[in-house]
Amino acid sequence: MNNPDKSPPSFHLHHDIPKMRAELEEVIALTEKATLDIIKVLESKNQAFPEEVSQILHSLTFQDITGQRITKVLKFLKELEKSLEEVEKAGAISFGAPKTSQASVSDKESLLNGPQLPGEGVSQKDIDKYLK
Amino acid sequence: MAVNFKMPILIVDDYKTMLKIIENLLKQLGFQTIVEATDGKAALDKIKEQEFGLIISDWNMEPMSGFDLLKEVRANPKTKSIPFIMVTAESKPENVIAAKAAGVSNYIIKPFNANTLKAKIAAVLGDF
Repeated sequence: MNNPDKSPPSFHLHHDIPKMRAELEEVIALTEKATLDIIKVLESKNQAFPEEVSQILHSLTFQDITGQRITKVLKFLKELEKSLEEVEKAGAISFGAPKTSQASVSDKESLLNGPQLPGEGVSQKDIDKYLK
Repeated sequence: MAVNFKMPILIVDDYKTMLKIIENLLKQLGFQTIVEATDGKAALDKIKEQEFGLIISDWNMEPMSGFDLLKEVRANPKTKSIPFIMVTAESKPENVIAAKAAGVSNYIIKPFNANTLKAKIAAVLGDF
């Protein structure tokens, strides 16, 4: 069946899906770090925990649960990426350049790419040095 | 039956946060010796090194799951009688049925609170 809309996909298979996976991995890493920091503070405050601290610890199990849910999505994205690669190899569709190239994106949109992943952005120290 | 609070307890989970939370809750309950492992395979290595009075394990871990760990523990004459509590987000009936068939001592669904953990440990080791 002919599809009248033959416009290419609006995402780049080998760039956008790995980037989205990296974003989700960063969510897991950040929530894990924050949760461990909170636990460390709780541990330093008391040898014997009051009931409230036990309740906080219970609430912090969210990180494990949300992490497992995100990991499921990550596995699915990996599988999806593999399947789309197969479709592309078969010549059914091309996931070449994104439909909207960087040059045609408005200035406003091109400035809305945060939050940056580790190693992508500049540090506060660098900014301070630059603005001095 | 008096609970021996000095007996080593092995906790197994691939999330550092969960290990810290369970460790702190166990210490709060009075247990003094807690050993951590991040998957079933690492847990088996720990079990070879020392004796444990209780194993508390997550299910969904890689490369070796808590379910496979349970089966290995029950298959070994030296470890088959160690109480084994599964602490997991896997809450489908078939999971619980499979765990019971494999010899799990008790089963806790995440998220859980300190009272649930205490009650399930007491059900396995005796009141404390």
